[in-house]
Amino acid sequence: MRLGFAVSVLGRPRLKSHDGRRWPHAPHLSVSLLYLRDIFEYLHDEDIHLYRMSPYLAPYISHPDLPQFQGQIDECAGELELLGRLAADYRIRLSFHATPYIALGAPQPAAAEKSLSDLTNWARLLDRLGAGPEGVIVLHLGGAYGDKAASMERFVACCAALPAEVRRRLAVENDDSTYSVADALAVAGQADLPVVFDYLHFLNFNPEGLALAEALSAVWRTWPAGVRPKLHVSSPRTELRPPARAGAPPALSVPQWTEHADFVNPFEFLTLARALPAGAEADIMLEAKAKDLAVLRLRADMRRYAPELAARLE
Amino acid sequence: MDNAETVSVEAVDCCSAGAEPAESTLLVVIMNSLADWEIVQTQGWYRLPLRRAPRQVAADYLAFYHTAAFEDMKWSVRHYAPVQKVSVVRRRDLLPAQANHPRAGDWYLRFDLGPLQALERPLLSRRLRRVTFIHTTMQRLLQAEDVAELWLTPPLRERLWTEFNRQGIHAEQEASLGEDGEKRLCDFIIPCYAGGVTVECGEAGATPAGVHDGALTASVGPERTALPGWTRLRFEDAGWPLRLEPYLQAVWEAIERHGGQL
Repeated sequence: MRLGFAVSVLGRPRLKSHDGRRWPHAPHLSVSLLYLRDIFEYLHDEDIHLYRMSPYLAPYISHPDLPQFQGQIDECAGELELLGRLAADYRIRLSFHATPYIALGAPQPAAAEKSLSDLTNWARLLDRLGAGPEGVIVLHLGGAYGDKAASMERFVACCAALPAEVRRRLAVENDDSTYSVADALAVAGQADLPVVFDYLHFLNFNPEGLALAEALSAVWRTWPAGVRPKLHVSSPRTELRPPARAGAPPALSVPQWTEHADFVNPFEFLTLARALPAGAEADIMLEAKAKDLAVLRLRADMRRYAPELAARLE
Repeated sequence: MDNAETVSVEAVDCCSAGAEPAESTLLVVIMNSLADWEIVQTQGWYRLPLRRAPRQVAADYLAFYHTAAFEDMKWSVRHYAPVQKVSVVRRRDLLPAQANHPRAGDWYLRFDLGPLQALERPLLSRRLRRVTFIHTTMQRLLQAEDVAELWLTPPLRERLWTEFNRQGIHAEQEASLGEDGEKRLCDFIIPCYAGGVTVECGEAGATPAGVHDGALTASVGPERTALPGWTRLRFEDAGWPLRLEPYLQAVWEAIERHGGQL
């Protein structure tokens, strides 16, 4: 079992996830890759082997009005290959998570077209990094657009039309309000994609009443042999929230259970970990606000509360 | 050498409207070669051997610390430039005229730079001379009064000196030890009744750190004997907040083995 985190690093100062400069300052994928190299060194130091890269690694690469950014992946072929070797040496499983703008089920063809451009670039980055089939791009099914069944059909049709090198990287994730695990399984079955099981989303939105073990078993079957399933785990935020902006009424608001907490509650996590299919290994991405610090904390918690599971951590 | 006469620069305030935010990251690199400085000025790129790169090397800007090789510019930071692209290349491709160099096959980072920009006034290093890579921010560069202030956490050497004084360790700072032929400059020497202890601090960012018991710590480097009767301790500077206890414990244990400090 590997534990990982997404994008931002909190445990080491000034370690950016990508070149975030705005376009007039000519940001470049090569600068992002150097940041990524530093992150890999940090992951190696901390014995973390699962990492989600920033979707903005190649800045402005899909921007239709900024063609000067479009050749970055080819320009950085050598650097990507070297960095991929470093990731392999450090046994880091890499992935992307699609931004909310990716909408394969959208009724507007332009939205799907824009999605294709981003997905293609992420797939190319994973290819150039030498990532194996475990290097996935996780995406949600998106909105229902007033007709959930039709949206699911469009999603499946759009997937079928994708180039094979893109489609083979995709994995779909259940969400917390529209598409349940059962929905994700249905779409994944038709589109021949694996399902990334999100535990907090499952707890928030499971209208079919699937039992946890039942849902996990079904999800497991969507992953090809030899590719370890990937899960997302987070705990719901429980703290009161301060006013959202300056000048707002000085009232605290109650948290929504869909919000991510800073750390992962170890007892919730262990409930999930013990429900995983017997003998199955999983890679678990923590979607906690404290990022890498949450991974380090959960590892320590596992050693304390479940040493038998901690012994399985890689 | 007055750099204002020889360096083509753009006097740009990076924090002015429309420019980069002050939290931009910046790596201060060592400029110890006139030829390399010429390349930075005329061709707009800087090279760094990959094997000597600090663990945290990525930055939005580079600034240049000039060593004693630079006469009037020595021991100061005067210029910075935005990083526009970074390539990993072999030395022979970087410097084709030196294709037969013994390290021609080594990998280098090539930083392609934007316009070289001059600080309003040189940033001098009044206390520390043996500067290594400093990973910091543009804001800190623009606010600092001395190179030593560029570290967002005080460098290990400075922190140890403070702690030595606090704990009553009678160390001499930046002292030489040994005979002429083998004279060694040490960050600290601690004379003891039987020989003594030397302490060297490594390059910032050279050593992994880990989160243990809720605090950041860094590992203690290997202990080696430098001169007969002396213990040599080398500590790596992780470059971010860390606990000094492991270092100080190693120093105290070495002092003890040498019969206590004089």
